[in-house]
Amino acid sequence: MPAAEHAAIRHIVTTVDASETGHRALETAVRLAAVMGAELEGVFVEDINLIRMSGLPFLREVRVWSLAEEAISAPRMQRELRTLARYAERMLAQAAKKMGVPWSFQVWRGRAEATSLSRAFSADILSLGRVSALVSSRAWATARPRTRQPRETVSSICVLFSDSEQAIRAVTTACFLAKDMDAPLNVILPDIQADKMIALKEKARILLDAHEQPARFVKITGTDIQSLGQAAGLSGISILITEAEHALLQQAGLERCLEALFCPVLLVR
Amino acid sequence: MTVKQLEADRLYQRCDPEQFDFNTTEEVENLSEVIGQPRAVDAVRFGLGIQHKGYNLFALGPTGTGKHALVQRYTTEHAAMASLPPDWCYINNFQQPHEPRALRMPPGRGVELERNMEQLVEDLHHVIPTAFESDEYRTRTQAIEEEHNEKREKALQRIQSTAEQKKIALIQTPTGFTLAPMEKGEALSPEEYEKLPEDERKRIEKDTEELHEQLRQMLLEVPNWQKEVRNRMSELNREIAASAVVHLIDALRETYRDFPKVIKYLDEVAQDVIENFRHFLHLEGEKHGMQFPGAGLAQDEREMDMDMRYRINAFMTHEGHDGAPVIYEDHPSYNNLIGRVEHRAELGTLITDFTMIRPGALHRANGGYLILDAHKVLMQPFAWESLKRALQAEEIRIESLAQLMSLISTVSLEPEPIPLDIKVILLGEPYLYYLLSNLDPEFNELFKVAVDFDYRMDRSPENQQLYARLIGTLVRKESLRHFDCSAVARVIEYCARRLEDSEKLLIHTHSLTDILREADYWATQHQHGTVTKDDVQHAIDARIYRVDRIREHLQEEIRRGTLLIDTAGTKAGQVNGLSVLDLGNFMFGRPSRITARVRMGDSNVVDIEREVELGGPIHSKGVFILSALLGARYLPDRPLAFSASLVFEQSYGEVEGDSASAAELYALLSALADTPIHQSLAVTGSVNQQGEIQPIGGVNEKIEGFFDICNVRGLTGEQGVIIPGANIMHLMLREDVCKAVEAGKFAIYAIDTIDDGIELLTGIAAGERDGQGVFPDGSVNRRVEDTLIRYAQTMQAYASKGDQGNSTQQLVFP
Repeated sequence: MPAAEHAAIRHIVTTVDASETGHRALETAVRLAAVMGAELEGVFVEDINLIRMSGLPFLREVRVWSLAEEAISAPRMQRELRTLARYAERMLAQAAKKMGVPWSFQVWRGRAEATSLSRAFSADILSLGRVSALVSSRAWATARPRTRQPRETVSSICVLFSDSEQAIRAVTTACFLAKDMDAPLNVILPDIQADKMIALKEKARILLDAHEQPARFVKITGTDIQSLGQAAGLSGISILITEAEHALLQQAGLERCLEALFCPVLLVR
Repeated sequence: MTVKQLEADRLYQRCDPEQFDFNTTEEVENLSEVIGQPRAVDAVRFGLGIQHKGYNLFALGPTGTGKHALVQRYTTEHAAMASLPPDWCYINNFQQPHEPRALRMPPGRGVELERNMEQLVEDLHHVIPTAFESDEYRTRTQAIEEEHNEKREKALQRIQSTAEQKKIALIQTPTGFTLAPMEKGEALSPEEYEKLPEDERKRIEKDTEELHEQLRQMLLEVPNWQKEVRNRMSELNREIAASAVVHLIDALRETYRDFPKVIKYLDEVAQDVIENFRHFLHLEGEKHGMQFPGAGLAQDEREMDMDMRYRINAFMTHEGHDGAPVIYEDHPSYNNLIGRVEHRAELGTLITDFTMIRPGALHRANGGYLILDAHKVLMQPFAWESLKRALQAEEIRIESLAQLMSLISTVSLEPEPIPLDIKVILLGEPYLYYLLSNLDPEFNELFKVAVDFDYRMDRSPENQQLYARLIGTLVRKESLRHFDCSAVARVIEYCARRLEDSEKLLIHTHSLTDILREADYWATQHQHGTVTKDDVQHAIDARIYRVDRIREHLQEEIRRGTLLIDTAGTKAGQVNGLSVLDLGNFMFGRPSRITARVRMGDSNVVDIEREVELGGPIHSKGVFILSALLGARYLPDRPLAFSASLVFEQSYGEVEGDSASAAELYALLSALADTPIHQSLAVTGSVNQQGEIQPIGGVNEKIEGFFDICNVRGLTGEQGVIIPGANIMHLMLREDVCKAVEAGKFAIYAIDTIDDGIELLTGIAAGERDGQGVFPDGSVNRRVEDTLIRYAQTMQAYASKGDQGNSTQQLVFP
């Protein structure tokens, strides 16, 4: 692999939270940092909305498990957010120590939107789990039934490829990750003309051969999330790696992607 | 008078080597049968053949008589014709794991089942993960999850949509959910909210409350949905596990279709595997802490713990064996007999399971024969009781001693008892048999067959031939040099001497083997190719020499005059008695001076040994008998008025036995008659109340003991020993004694009554009562009686004077 593509990735930022995708985003970022010798920065997102709404007199919080209700006060909300932040920091520390990765941690207060977060940090790679406090359809992702099933493996790593420098770095990142996790790799190609497709595919193949990484090429037939899901097929997507400015993200929206795909998304700059 | 002076040929029964038709034992056939034990052989055959409860055997006999060898031989022959007993296995009791179940299998099938179950577990470790990694399982679980997710999503979406329409957002907080009014994508702060018109605020609060209630209702439903998902997942898991397990189990069911208990067990295994399928999925431990029982154990060890549930403890198998088992348990402790449950230490505690049940000797011999040493069984705590319990109940119940004694209260294993079908043969000394028979009420019920081993057999010509073959057999067994016929003859003579009976042969194989080995040693020393008579004699002499230091010292003291023994002259009230000192493996004779003193008195014969508690009860009995004899023989119709004291002079140890009672009586008679006794003679024999001389033990040693003293001082031709006539058959005297007798330098006299010995000892006739009941004048008996009459009259006179009330009158002694 060209030294420049690898050496340039020095700083990886990942969101850290207790959700399932948050765990996976952290794990992915740690692995990547270990493989690439990069520094890892964990970010706990303190949603400004939670602070703002605290103090509304009629607001009540319903606890998920106990169903107990309690008024929301700003001090209590801040205290709980601090507790969550400490927990997130511990998770980061444990994961990083296990892989021998240098790490740092910060709490970022702002609008819990992936887009805002993406603009706030200028890392080489940004690993995103769930960001928004707004309840998504997967709100109980951490509360799934505890039936003992076979250990979940990474079903597939998908990388969106286009003709850009960041896309090349995305593919390189995907190769490292796929090799480290021993996971299948899908290279998602845009819906373009046939001759351009061939050239793009060849370009991707050269990159893959340089890393001795087998991959499946899949052509996406639209620019929405459903198309991406269809392209991934039955195996689903465990990790999505893309350049930060990919057309699909622009079109569908980063938040929608995170909510719909329910997997960590790695934005490569 | 029936005094016999014995000729030399009566003193030793020689074994003539000419009777043998071989030169050395090399030409002699091995003995295939047991000799001299017809009673024992008959009993063993009976005991092994009868099949009723309680007919266990007790082989009683001295050690070294071949009990074990004979019993082992016949038992092995019998067992070879019997059928192989079944295999026994212990299996897990899934309902009550601390009560493992016993499973009976045909011979050899127990190990087969064990192997099949091991294979099953190995196969399950492949099949079950494969089933749970299959596309079908993954798809179906995902489908259940998706269905559940959709339900939740739809419920949330309904609330979310309704909320959005009312400009309210459903927000996830650190610990739950809340509903907050939004404006342009941001939650309203309290300040912004206060700025809203009142009706707007009321509207917001009302809508929030309604939505809040909807949210609460939905959250209330969530646990039910989750439970439903769990149930469906469990069902799916069971179904998948069952599909993986069933064909493996079916194959085993087919193999063991004729064994309903095995089929039942396999069904239980299948059920348990389905319930515990997770064990086969090699799941990692929880990342957030120790979750598994036995935490701290390696994954492999936890897997082993679970795999163990499906193992078979092929507890007792007979693969590769023929016939019924014959087991000899050399160390019959409680655990070695009954079996035990082993434990292993794990994280500071002791744990166990059914795979750690170990068989005992009763299990190993079940269906066959168990040979035990009775003494060893009785010496082991609880062994005897447990053996009896097992035989009574006809089952083997494994219990730990600690539980039995209620020393511990923790739950241990209680394995299902195994039915017991066994024949037990105890080997022991006769005293053990008699003790148990008298004191243990259960013994006679459980050990009905006594196998009584003799220690001797008749010394007939036929038996001597057999004995020669026995010697030949032992020589080969011990890899010794062969014995020539003279050596064989000498051995036979030695064994008769050991038995103290010229007409019997000792069949104590241990003793016989010892002398053969020692003779072989001396043959080696003498560089003889075969063992000769001289080698045997050398062995005998060397053996005696090794242990006769004390005899040598005693004889030296007699020779030096420290111990006073007369071998010439005469003395009244003194006689040479003979005793034997038994040093365990060596016995020798020792002359003792016995003296008697008499005076007028109140008719008691004081046994001084008894008075100072040096006389044993049998010795005391002898003295009482001779006292009674005196009373009955002399002045039966008058009171006796004498006191006497008897003592073994210079004896400072315990005296037991009645073999000196004749000598004591002679001393007493001599004192009463004031008639001296020839000190050149020694006397041995027991006397009864009729005045008959009864046989005694150690006659050869006693004679030789006195002979040695006389020999050292120089034989005069007047010396000799008086022995009971009944002991003639026991004579196997040393060659030098026989030669002395033959040369007329020493004599052996055999008597039958007390009167026979009186003339020998005193030179005066004993005398018999005439028709008037009077002894002849001058006879010893007459003198004795005259003395007793005089004492009686004197006593009477003293008594009369006393009756006259003249208390001041002094007694005048004649």
